[in-house]
Amino acid sequence: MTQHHPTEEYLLHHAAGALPEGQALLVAAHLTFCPECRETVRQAEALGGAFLEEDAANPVDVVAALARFPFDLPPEAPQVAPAAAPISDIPLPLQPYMGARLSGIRWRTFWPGMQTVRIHTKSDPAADVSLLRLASGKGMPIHTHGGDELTIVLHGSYTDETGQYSVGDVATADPTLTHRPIADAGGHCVCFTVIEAPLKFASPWARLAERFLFR
Amino acid sequence: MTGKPITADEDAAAVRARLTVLLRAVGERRDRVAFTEIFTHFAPRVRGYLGRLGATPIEAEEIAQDVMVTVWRRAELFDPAQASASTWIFTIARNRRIDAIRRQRRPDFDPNDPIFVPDPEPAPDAALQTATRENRLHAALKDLSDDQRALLQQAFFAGKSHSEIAAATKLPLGTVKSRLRLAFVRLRKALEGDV
Repeated sequence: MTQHHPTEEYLLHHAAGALPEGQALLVAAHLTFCPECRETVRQAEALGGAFLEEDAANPVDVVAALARFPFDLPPEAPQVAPAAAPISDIPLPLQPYMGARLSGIRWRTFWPGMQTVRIHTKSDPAADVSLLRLASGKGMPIHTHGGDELTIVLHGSYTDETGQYSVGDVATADPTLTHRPIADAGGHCVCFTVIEAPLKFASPWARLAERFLFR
Repeated sequence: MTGKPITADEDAAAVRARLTVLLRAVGERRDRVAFTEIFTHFAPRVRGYLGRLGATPIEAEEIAQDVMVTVWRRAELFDPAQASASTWIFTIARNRRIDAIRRQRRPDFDPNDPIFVPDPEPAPDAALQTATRENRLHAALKDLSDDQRALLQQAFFAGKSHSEIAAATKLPLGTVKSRLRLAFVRLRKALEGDV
């Protein structure tokens, strides 16, 4: 069971269909693990349904629209589980972006003990979406954020000043937070991260590495 | 004085119950008469929703037609234990719009995912509970102040970000956030039956 959740604001905007692609992916990945947040999203969707219900003043020529309605189209078959779903620890919504296996990822070393790879979102190519891999016991350089940062753990766990984060947990960092995530002992930690504005690293060496490798 | 709003709510609840029955009829036996009524009720609403999100009249008409075709073809998947007819159709309209803008599917969880963590077992009378909850939601929505309703509608229906709402209403961002939060907490309590 997940312990750390996206803030309600992200869940509501996901329900409203208003999240940019990278954040929507991260929330969809969390919902895979979290019945509690799925319930919040369902409640927000019910609110959308209630507003839809009230929004009646938009006359449509129903007779004309029904006259050309394609009643002959066959039903779309209910989706069934693939016969042999591939064994993967990557949530399905993320797989089109990063494949089904973490072992297939071509990492670039960013900092000793830390590797990264940029994820390209189709609708928003400039979005800062990436995967991070921290070696066991290794941390990210200390940093703050120019904007909100959302992180979900996909493998292993890490700990920072705000607590411990395991698979499915989401961390939200805003510009007021300065933190140093460190992968827990016992294995590496992989996270999927979406940043609204670039990180600000405290160390000039980290800033240099960021310029050459993170883009 | 007290009689009228209750009657209005009861009428609205009866309409919702009827729409659920009609949508089930479409799903179970592709009932064209039932679908005609569903179409007449929802096509204008879906079009209004799309217009609110900034679609041009032509786009709104195209996407709305596409939404109604999806309703016709997928009605078999409609589950009254999960959502009312209007909520189910809202989610289809929301997804279709994103598909149309981004030319790709809206990211969402997949219950068939091997690592999916399932919901707790649904109650045997889940469909009735869902209908009751949504009726309570509608009543609670009517009880909100006009300002609160307008904020909620901007955020959760028109898809505006909190900063966009703050700019449009000239309210401080923190005020927008806290008012929205308060309004949603009230509605959640109604949904969960705490009021």
